[in-house]
Amino acid sequence: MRCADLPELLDAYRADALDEPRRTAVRSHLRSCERCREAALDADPTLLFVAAPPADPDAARVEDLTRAVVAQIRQQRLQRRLVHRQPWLAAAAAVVLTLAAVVGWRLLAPGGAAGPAPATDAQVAEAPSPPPRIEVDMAGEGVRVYQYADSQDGDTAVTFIVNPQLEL
Amino acid sequence: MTQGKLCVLPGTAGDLAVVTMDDREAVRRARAGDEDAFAALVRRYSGGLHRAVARILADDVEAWDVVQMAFVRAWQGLDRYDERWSFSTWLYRIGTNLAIDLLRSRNSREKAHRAGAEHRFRIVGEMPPASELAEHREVDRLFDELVGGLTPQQRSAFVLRELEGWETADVAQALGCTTTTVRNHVFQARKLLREELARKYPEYLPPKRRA
Repeated sequence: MRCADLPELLDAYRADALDEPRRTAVRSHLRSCERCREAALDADPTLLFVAAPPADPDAARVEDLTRAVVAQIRQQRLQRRLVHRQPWLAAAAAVVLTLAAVVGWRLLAPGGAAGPAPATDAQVAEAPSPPPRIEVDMAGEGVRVYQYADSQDGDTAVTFIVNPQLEL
Repeated sequence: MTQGKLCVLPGTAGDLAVVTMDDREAVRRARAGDEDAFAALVRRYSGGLHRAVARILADDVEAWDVVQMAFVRAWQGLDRYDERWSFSTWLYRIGTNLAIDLLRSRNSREKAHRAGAEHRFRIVGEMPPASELAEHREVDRLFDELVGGLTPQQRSAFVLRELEGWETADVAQALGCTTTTVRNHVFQARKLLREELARKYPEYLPPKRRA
């Protein structure tokens, strides 16, 4: 596209009277030619937004988003499968996960009055955590629910492991 | 926008092996439960969808949440996807509808956000001339400043048509309205943006328009 063509094309662009190839050519030209851009902004300052080149997407953010979407999809598929095959287990999993969230909140809340007193180093040394106990194991489904019980304060943590290969 | 685009998917044999496929093939594989195929669609379209949703919402951070929700909804609704339309148009329809719903539900919160953003923008100091501004990310921030007075539909139509360069028919499909309505939205949006620009940033107007 030549600079001399712009004034006429610009009027048609603003009236939405250009076909798509010429419309695209006007947009590209405004992004690359500063002199024509100045003339276009004189005619209509809102063409500033048309003339701005689109920012490149943040590659790291896109990758994070992709992982998050796939994780959410897997979680939903698992929940659907549990509800379909073992409704009672899905309900139980929901209950224990809620319980774990409440207990976790109590433990992590800074200075929470309801929370247990912090254990001293000696107490921690004397009372090692018991080994986790498998509460539910769905053979072939790759699902295990563990319960960790703390003998000191009775609080319970529950871990819901989808893929046993990821276990520590 | 109506043609399928190519995606690059991880190969199943060898580190360097890749399989290229268009959107339709990726959608078919995703419907069959192939998460890698869907992940390829996410990688392909999330940047562009985020750019559009961020300008509609005038909020880059919140836009990522909307984009994530849009892809999850798309996955859930793959069976309802009509292959006569491009996947991207369908996806943008989901994303813009979520953004429009969010805008409607946050009116008062948005006013507070606008006021804060205006203050931050003003204290930056000297602004470059408008023609140079186009080369900076500042133009996104300027748009976010001005877009508050537009309706959600006007914002969406202007962003897709003018910022993203979509054809009117595709914008109409994404927004679920007619092409005439899209043109009206864009016309009104341009008029309101011009007025807001003159009111808030007269320094960006040509001298003959400032008076």
